[in-house]
Amino acid sequence: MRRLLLVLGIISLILASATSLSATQLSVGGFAGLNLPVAMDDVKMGMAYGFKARIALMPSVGIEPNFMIASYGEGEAEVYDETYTRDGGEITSFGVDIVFGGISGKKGASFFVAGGIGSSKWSRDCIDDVTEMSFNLGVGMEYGVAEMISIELRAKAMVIPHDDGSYKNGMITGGLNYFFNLGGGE
Amino acid sequence: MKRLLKFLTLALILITAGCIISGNILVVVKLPDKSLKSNQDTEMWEVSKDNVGDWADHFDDINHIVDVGFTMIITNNNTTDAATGQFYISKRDDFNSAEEVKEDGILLLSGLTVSAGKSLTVKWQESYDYLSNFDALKKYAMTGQFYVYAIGLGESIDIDIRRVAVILTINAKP
Repeated sequence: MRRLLLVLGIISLILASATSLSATQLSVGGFAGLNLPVAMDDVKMGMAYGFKARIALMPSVGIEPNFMIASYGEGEAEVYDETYTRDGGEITSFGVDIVFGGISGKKGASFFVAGGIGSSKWSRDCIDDVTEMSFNLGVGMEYGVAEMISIELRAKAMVIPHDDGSYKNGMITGGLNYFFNLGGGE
Repeated sequence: MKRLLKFLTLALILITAGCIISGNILVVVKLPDKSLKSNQDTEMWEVSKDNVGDWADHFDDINHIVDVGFTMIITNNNTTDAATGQFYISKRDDFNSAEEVKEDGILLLSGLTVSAGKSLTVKWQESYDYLSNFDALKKYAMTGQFYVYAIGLGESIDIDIRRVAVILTINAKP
């Protein structure tokens, strides 16, 4: 709960500072793609999807509050020549990323780097949820297909530290963004 | 801006370090077949890292136990009466009776009822429907060795417990 409050506090502070900085652009978008567990023998590849908002603080710096659900495929174990399976569960995550790069929402291609923190909960059938602060870092390409609409492709790594270890995922997602120009800048 | 870059650098280090130093490793511990031939009859299995390469290899580097499940096939050879089984765990291997197991052991699996002349296959996912005291089980697994006891309950017990396995997921450094 304290971690949750900490993340909420950080998000609130960033949003508060953003509004005081004559924000020039706001975009909202959705994304979906693959969740690829890294060094996790007990689960398989699953899906990831969610939505986000992006607030441009400067021409090439923005913040992205985001919400995501990432599922895992069923784990498999070979036991006495039979394959048994186990629910992989899903991660529910919300947090905030900082984005550096081309985030203007103009036509054409731009590239960006994004990293941030969140609160992530791994829920799995029959066992207690694991809720921890998570970290992620990724790169992406955004292509403005129209003045206020862009599509993006993003690859990121997400780490959920837990009990001296960690759970790790790679995510490849595609998304669609819509920009609202709030004025006051580019 | 410098603070942001420092934060991102720290996040990158954490991600990179995490990627390199730990992972979830699946370990299957196969246990021998056993039979229970009378009411309150008791059988014991030793579950030990020493019998399983992956578990033993990573034992000193385990961060935590992620998950523990079971598989087994229970066959009721009695064609007239249903049979019920319970499983307990303990760090002790010297129990002499079902009463001692129940008194000092920790209940692990219950509600396993097999109709007369039938078999019950407990699959990995289904084993959680019968499982209790999961945290105690994880603590025992963290120590690298524990004992599982089966107790037969019924009028005229004659059951075989075959293809028994503990499926353990450990989070450890490679």
